[in-house]
Amino acid sequence: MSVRAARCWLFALLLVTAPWPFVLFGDGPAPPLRSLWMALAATAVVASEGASVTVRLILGVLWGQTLLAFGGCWVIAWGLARGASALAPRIRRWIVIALIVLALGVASALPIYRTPMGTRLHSNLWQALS
Amino acid sequence: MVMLALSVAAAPAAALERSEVREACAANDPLRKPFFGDSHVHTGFSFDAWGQGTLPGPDDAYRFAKGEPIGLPPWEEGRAGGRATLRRPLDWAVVTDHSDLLGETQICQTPGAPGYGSIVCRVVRHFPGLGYALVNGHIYASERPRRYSFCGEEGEHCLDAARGPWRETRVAAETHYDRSPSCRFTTFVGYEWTGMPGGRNLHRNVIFRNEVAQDSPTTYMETPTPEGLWEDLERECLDGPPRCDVLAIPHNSNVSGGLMFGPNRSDGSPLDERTARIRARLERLVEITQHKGDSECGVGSGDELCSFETLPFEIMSEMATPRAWGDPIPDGSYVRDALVDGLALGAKLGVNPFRLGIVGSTDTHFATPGMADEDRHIGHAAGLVNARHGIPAFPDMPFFNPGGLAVLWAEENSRDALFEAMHRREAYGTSGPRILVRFFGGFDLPEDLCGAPDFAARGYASGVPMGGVLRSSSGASPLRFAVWALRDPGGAGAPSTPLERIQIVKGWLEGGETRLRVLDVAGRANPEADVDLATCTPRGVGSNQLCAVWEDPEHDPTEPAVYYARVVENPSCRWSQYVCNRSGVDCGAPGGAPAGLESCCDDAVPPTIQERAWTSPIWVDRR
Repeated sequence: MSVRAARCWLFALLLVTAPWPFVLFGDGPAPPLRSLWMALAATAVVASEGASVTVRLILGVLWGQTLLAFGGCWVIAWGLARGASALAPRIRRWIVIALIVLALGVASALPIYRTPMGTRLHSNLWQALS
Repeated sequence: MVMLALSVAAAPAAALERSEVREACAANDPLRKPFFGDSHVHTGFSFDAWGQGTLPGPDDAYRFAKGEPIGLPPWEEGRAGGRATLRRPLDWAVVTDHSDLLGETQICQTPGAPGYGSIVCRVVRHFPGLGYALVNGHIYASERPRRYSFCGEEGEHCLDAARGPWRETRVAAETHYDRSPSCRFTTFVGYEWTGMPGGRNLHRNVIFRNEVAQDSPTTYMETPTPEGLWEDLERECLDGPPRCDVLAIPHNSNVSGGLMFGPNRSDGSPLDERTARIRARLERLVEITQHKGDSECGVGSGDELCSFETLPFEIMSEMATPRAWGDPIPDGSYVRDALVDGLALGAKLGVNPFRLGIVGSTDTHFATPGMADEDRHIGHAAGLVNARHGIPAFPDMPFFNPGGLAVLWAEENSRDALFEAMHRREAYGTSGPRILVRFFGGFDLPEDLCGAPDFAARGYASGVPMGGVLRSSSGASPLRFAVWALRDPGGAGAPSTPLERIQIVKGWLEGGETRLRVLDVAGRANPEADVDLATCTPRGVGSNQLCAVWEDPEHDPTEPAVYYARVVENPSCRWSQYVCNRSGVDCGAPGGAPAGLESCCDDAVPPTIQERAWTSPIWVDRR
């Protein structure tokens, strides 16, 4: 696996599973992908119904928060992939696969996310993204 | 100069006019008794309450008011995660769910309803917190609110869907109204008109005298101004059909940005005689205190007791970005100013639009009427502190409070008797404790009333009670006020704090200028009285009851004046201190307060308050 591929996989993994601090409409941690869902949902509401100043502000903060989370995940993935650049591609591949399995396993099995303004307070990965 | 008092308020001898079919109450006191209630209650029918996880409806709210337990969030498969019960049941209550979004709330939780599958309803169901913010931001932060498209072109789907909860609200009021001679509990049909142009709070609770009410409640979205609301209430109720009787009670002038009691109509034109008349006809009371702060007076008024439960923002939509506590709030935001400004407007227009009696209430969004005890505050379920997954350790935003109670002096506990009390403003508000207060004014009040066993009988016979109007005329008698207060006796586990003092607040006109004075008339400020913060036990001397007959030596019969009494308790723990004590917060410990309890160690959050009661005023018209 190339360093670039490792970075992409790790970035995707972090977007889906990283318990990222979530400051608007509930003080996280929650996966950045949940933030993206919410930003997209709010955008869909605004697209169909228009927006007051307050709603535009909410939308702006939501997207800002989402972009921040995505940027943070990218930086972490970049750092991890760089750290693994000295390893042989085959080992790098197995490390990435192990991280994916471990992170998805833990995130799926345990309610490590906190989504206070969602439909439940503590969530596992699938509950947080549903 | 000769002066003579003319009482123009209703005397207790006036027979109670029945507007409904019911059995007479077994207990009827012509000298009237105090009935404790809550005129501001939200249930799961209100969008904001439902959005924060409140499921109980009006039926549950009335059961709670009568002493039964109620379920609290978190709700899981119909089972409540917590329960609450009132220590002392109420005598009466009014469920006042928001008329706005009544239909939308119904549609978004009813599969198959038109709009259930809309993007807005989907967001509300999947991301309740986001939905709450978006919907409130869409409706209430706009200058010109409009319904979501899923309501139909004319809003017909949502208006139609609102009929169900409105019908259920009326049925619950009827079910829990005790029409037997026991007269144990009274309900009223009501709703809240939720006007909030640009985030400035102009809300009114609308309360009907009996079961005859509007077919549909007036909404902010269809009727976006207070003038429109009053016209609706005149057309659809007072002048019928159906012929009914109704009051509108404004609240939270403290977050109206100066609009609630401003000198202009909604269109910016000066208040005219016709508008003042319809307002005075419908708005007989104002809610002076509730969960979202105290509206009596601002911290900049020079009255040190005005720092009680003030909010650090001046319009509702600034709730998320509060300033430092104690910043000045604009004119037109406080009841005291309105009472004095009303004198000037009355002199100019011929009608005082702000002849307002006083009540307090909770504004609960947990469907828990009367839940105003500091030591049992569970939050409010409509601000930014979310209770959907359970009541947080620090259950509310630090600047909110449990709210207060409304007390009505009436002959009996029936709708007609209580509504008449509201109408003649023989009412007062408390910040929660069950303090008893009587307040009479007159030119012939005896000086020895305080010791008299027939205080009330002589008060009625020689003067007017709170809410009444006197007229100065030719006569030689001095203007006197008699005020008596009895501390909350506590009981049933409720704390009880001694009284510190009674004050009379006087406002008057002098050469066209408004004037104001606050006087201690019984008891005194007592710096020795304080609270053991560790146990919340009040310390120091106070009074079980206080009484005074006060004569106004400066009364000018050629100028109008207004007087109300304020009864103040010794200091006691604020709700936040109870929470911090229960949680064992030690601000000196390494790391400070635990997460979620940071407000416990915030110096801006006062550990104590002085609970109080405010009587409705007595007005003295110029001769």
